[in-house]
Amino acid sequence: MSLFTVSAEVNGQRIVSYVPGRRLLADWLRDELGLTGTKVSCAVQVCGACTVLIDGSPVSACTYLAVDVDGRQVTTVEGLAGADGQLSDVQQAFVDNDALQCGFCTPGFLMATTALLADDLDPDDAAIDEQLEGNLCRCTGYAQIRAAVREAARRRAANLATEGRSDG
Amino acid sequence: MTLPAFEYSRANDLPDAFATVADGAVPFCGGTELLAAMSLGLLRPERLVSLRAVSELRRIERAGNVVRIGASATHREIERDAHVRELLPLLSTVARGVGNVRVRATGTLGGNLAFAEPRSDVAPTLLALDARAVVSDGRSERRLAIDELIIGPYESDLRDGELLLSVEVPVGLVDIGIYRKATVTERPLVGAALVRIAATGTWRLVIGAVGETLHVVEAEDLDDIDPGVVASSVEVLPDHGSSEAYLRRITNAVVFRSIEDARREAEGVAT
Repeated sequence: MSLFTVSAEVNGQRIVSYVPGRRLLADWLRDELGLTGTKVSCAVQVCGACTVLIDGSPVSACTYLAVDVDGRQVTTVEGLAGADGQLSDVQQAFVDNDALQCGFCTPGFLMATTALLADDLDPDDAAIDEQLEGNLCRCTGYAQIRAAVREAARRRAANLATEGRSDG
Repeated sequence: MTLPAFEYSRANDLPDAFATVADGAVPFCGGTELLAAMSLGLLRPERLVSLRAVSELRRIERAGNVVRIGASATHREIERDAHVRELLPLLSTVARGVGNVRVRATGTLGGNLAFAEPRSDVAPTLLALDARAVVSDGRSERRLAIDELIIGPYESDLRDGELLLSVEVPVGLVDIGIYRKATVTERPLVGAALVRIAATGTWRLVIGAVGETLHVVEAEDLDDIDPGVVASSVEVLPDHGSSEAYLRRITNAVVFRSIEDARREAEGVAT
């Protein structure tokens, strides 16, 4: 079986790897790179547990070929916290709002939310639902998840406003 | 989850893509349909060729009286494209509701149509808008109506060596466009596109997803469309999750509400 070179930036780190064409992105991240924060549940891109960002866009790693991230930037849940281990604003808002129960779906929700806030710092409930309707929480903690997203957006907007003032 | 083995290659440009497909490779782009079907063991292609790098297939442009949408434009690119938003607002709205956010970011219009996904949101919409699919084997082009391209579930009229290049959607054909659907998961159980033809003031309703093929109703007036009659006359394909009776009832409701939406728009009353 021929192998293909994948040269990608994963969570800010340059990774060069040789993969068979059929290697799925989720398996590559979990089994070869040891990034097991990306969970696999339905394996047919319905549940959202395996959501990662490719060049900032949310993608189901279960139905994406590892070879197709060649030359691109991949962000997994491990890439959200700072180098010092400080949680991202989205992660912290999920903690503060008890927006997780068993936690299996959480990495996917965090990634989808991170993508949403990159585009929209003031999402209303409809925008939150539109972004997250493809992520399933089988503990059904959706109300807290919505609250966490709203709070993460508020905090980020407030921080940006403060930074803007200090810059000025 | 391990996919069945296949040979993988990448096309760098259109001639490359034609050559590889002529050689028997199955083209794909986002993979949202194909890789899921392969994961489920439903498909076992021996060779795949990725069209992701073929930039000619990704363009969305105004070309005279049509907006030409490249086959590998993603649903999200279509939703956000300035031409589509301005000239084909119905298509932008429908693209915004396809699947889920991940499908919209990676899934392509051409993939959805060429795969002949029977539970498609875009197929009934594009049929209602009188779109033409441009297919080519690299030597000659054919232009097909959407119901000529999609001839059954997972069955398209693409011939060996042919690629779906783009979809051309006429501008200004309709002055009212409604799409409504009922969904349980990310694919519609039934979808209804209802448009008013600007030149004649007549109505066209296209029902998708509920049957094997698209169902078209043309009417002089909105009052001539009876949701009960439509629901009892559509072909219905019951599946393990939904009985025929349920699907007819849902079809009735979706058509009823589409007509209500259309009537509100026609009367110029804000929704």
